[in-house]
Amino acid sequence: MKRTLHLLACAALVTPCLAADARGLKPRPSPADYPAGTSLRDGTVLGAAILAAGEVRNAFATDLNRGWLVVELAIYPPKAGRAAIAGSDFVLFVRSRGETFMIRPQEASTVARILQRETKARSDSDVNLYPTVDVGYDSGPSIYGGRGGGWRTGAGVGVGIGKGSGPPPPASTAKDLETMQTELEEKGLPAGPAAAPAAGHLYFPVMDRKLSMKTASFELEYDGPAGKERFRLEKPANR
Amino acid sequence: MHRSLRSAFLLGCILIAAAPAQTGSDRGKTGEPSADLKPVRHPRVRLGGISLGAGYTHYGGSYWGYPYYSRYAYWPGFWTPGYWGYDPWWWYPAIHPGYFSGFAYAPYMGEVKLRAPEKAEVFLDGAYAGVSGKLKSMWLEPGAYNLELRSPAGSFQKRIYVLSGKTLSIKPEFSEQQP
Repeated sequence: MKRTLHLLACAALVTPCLAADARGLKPRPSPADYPAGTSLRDGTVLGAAILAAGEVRNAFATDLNRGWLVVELAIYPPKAGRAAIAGSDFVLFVRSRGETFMIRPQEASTVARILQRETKARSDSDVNLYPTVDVGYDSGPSIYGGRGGGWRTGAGVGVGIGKGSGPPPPASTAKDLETMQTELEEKGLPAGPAAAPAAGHLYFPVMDRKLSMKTASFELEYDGPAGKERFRLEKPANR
Repeated sequence: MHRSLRSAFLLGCILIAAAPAQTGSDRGKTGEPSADLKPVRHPRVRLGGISLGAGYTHYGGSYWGYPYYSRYAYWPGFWTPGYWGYDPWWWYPAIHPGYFSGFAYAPYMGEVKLRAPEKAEVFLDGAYAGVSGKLKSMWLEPGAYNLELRSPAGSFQKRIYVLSGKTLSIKPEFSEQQP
């Protein structure tokens, strides 16, 4: 009886630790399923893909198509080994208009905060148009005797700048911030050593006005305990 | 006494285990936010609504030198929402269908549109919510939910993230149920 209780207690304590690993994405069957990838010194294989705008729209409720580049990254650890890779080990190099931009991925909380702040700020400068149309008929005594009348029509437009008294703009409340953060964390690259293949997203800010996504080329660099490797990322057609 | 202490310890362990394991703040460290991350601001123009009016004025002449209107009818009236212009961003719950159904529209909520067979059972966070035929459009508070649909064709599970003012359209692909 005592042993059973001890086993139960241990199981109860271990369960949350196991549940903590259920993050990130399901990796594709092999690294070859990713359009880009590389092998590291310790035998770890990386696979990566830039998500197209449509894929981002389908995969996320959070609007990441405005100023963010999402990279799906998969880690395939060596046989009988572990891969200790974190998102902070990666840097994205973007070449655009003769310049090279070095961009680090941002944490889910940062991304969510920026997106929420952006939406709120945008609503402060919104221009709201309220067109009005009026049709009526007036009748009354005529100065020439008898009654007279006629139709009247009118049109106008009201202009309001800033947010009104209505509900806030989409995805701008504190709860939205929390939800966006949860989503981005849950779909982000899991941290910690991985004995089995793992995958997740990295979120890179591409808000610089000098950066033209149409003409840009991308390279992802890994610089961490397993060495230093840089590989080219294929740009999706509609990015 | 010993037994009650042991039971209390066990209960404590179970409660700790049931608590959320990890908030995620300690995972995926992806560098410090840089100072140049400023939001891009583009003012946008939107149609706030339209007001339509129609009326009839009967001018009855003057009364002690002042004109007066013997009858005046105008619709929409002052107390109707249309008088101030129909505003899609203005909450007026009474006019929304299904307001009392529990998944009705409200501001600060997001919409989940289900395109599923009529008789599929819908579960939200494990709790039965109804059949999909009656839940084609659900308004939920912003948050992450576990959506599950069960039908004779199979079951469908998805973690959904609802944001206020946004619509999430879901077309489930049912997988064979495990025995």
